[in-house]
Amino acid sequence: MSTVSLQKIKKVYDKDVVAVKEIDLEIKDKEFLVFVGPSGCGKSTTLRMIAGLEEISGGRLYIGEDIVNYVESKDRDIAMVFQNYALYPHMTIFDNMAFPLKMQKMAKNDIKQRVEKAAKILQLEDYLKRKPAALSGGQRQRVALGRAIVRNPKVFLLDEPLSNLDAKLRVAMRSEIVKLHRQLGTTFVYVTHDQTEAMTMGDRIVVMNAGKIEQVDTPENLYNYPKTKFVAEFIGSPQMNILKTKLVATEEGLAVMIQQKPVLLGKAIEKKINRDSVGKEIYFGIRPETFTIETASKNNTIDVYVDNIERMGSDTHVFFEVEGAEKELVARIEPYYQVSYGDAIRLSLNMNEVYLFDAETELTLIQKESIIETTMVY
Amino acid sequence: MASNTPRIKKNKFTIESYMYLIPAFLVFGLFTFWPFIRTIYRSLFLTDNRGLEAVFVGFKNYMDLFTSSSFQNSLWVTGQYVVLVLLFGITFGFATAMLCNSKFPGLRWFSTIYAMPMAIASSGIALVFNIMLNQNIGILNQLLGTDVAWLADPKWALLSVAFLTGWLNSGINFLYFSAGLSNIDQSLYESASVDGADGWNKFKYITMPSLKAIIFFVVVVNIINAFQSFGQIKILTKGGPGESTNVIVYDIYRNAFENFRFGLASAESVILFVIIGILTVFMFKFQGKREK
Repeated sequence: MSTVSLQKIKKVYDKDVVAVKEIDLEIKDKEFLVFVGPSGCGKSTTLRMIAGLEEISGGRLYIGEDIVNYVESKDRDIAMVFQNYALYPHMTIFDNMAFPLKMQKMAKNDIKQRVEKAAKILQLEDYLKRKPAALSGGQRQRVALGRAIVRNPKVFLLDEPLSNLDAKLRVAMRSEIVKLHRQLGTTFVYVTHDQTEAMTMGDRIVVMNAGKIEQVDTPENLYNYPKTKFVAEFIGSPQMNILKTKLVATEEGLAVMIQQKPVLLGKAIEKKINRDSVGKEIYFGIRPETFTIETASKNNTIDVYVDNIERMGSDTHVFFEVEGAEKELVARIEPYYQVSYGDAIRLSLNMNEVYLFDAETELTLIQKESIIETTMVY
Repeated sequence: MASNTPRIKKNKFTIESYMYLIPAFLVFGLFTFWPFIRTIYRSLFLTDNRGLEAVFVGFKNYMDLFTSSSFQNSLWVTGQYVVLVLLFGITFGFATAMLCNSKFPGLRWFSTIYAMPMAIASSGIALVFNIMLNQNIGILNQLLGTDVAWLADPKWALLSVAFLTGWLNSGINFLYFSAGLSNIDQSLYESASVDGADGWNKFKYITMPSLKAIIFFVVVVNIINAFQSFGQIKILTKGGPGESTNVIVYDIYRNAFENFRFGLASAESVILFVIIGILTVFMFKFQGKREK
């Protein structure tokens, strides 16, 4: 069993700088768990505490059944891949990958067998005699992975392993790592600041912000049912649009004020909203992909002027200003619409796929059973 | 690319470009090259008591030296002395640098203390050691409760002087090693920890290989330094007791300024130069081979 359990884990630097605030988390056996968040949110620190490279200031850390707070990294039976790969520069690729086995005092023949097997999986067979300096970034990355997989550790820890690679290679390595996880059937804990990486790779994702966990959930749930405004904005690209506005009750039902006009919420959403929030200030969130271009004026349409256009090929991002928004809004529309800068356009909002957050607590106002469930679980 | 770089005409070395070199050449020429050439020249002569070349004798000075048991003893003593100085200086410098490589309260204090010998004049501290090592009133004997003539006993004299020199060298060695240690990427140690390496293995597989270049450099500099030490010997033992600390440099001094045999002393200087030269070339060759 290679579960990892964090119970009220805390990290405090220099007595008063709190990097990680008492987090609780159960990492399941054989799971691919991704920590994601902006820089300085504590995700790397958490990973390093699991690795034993950072002292734990409070709480309990279990790997399997054992409390490992005071177990040295070398005895935790974990493998780690570092952002800068941390290959031993004076050793050949073979020796680099053999190092953890050598530390276990494994027989030379077995070492050779294991390294060669790992090299085969990672397509490094031709480079075993070279030194790291003679390899490209992608190859070095593979060596770092190879050094981790040779010894069948309980847990794999990966600290932003792809951020030193160029965009193309990153995408390729992304699926390689996922495949590797499937092949090895071991617990992977992966840290990244890139939400795309998190969404594409993780079985579950831990979104962290300012030293605490915002939400732990599957990629789908994070996207569809973000618990907080932070998660809503962090997950998805382009970012979710956020308006500060009011929730009002009209004769036809609940509505939000957009450009001084009450726009009715969809019936599916309306049912799930706590009536206490009516009349309150809220954050209204809407994803760029739920806008569509419309000709006739309806209750759920808004008229805006095009501020900027980004053509992605597969679709077009249209930027526009709306009152109450913290920044420009963006709509993702079909590429065949010929819009240009300064055009007046009419957009309809899919009011069944919107997000409402309390303006003060920034927590979601939409009650969904599964959200409550997942919060209880982690 | 070539078209973008400013074009410099070949052969355009005007008198001007040489003029910039004159100040440096003047200093070097006057104080290094000229005396050096004169030393080689003088080594072929017998000199009068003012040090002027009197009789050309060819290589007789060299022949005399190589057949003299005193000079052979000097060579042997110098060899021992250099090895001991290296041993003390590098061990102490390396050990202190390792100690100061981790963070602890008072680190700056200790760093300063360990680097201090660098700033101490060898003859000055030799005077202090002279008292500390004194058989009757010296603190060392008092502390150890011994009665050893550290400087007057042929068994101990060379060791004592070499220890002092090693300690003096340890300051700059500490600095070099500290610089080398702080250049090692911390993530290598972290990675090794995760890979299961204990302290000793980290030292063996990361620290030592990473410091290879620095260690080589320090060894070369220390050897050259050790060959040339003079002040502490002059003050502490004057080559004695007997000839047990009579290193080549001190023998040169004695021949030139006590016996007024400048020709012979010059020949010794040339031999010393050749020895250091050969050693240095040899070490660089050796290092080059290992790198491959």
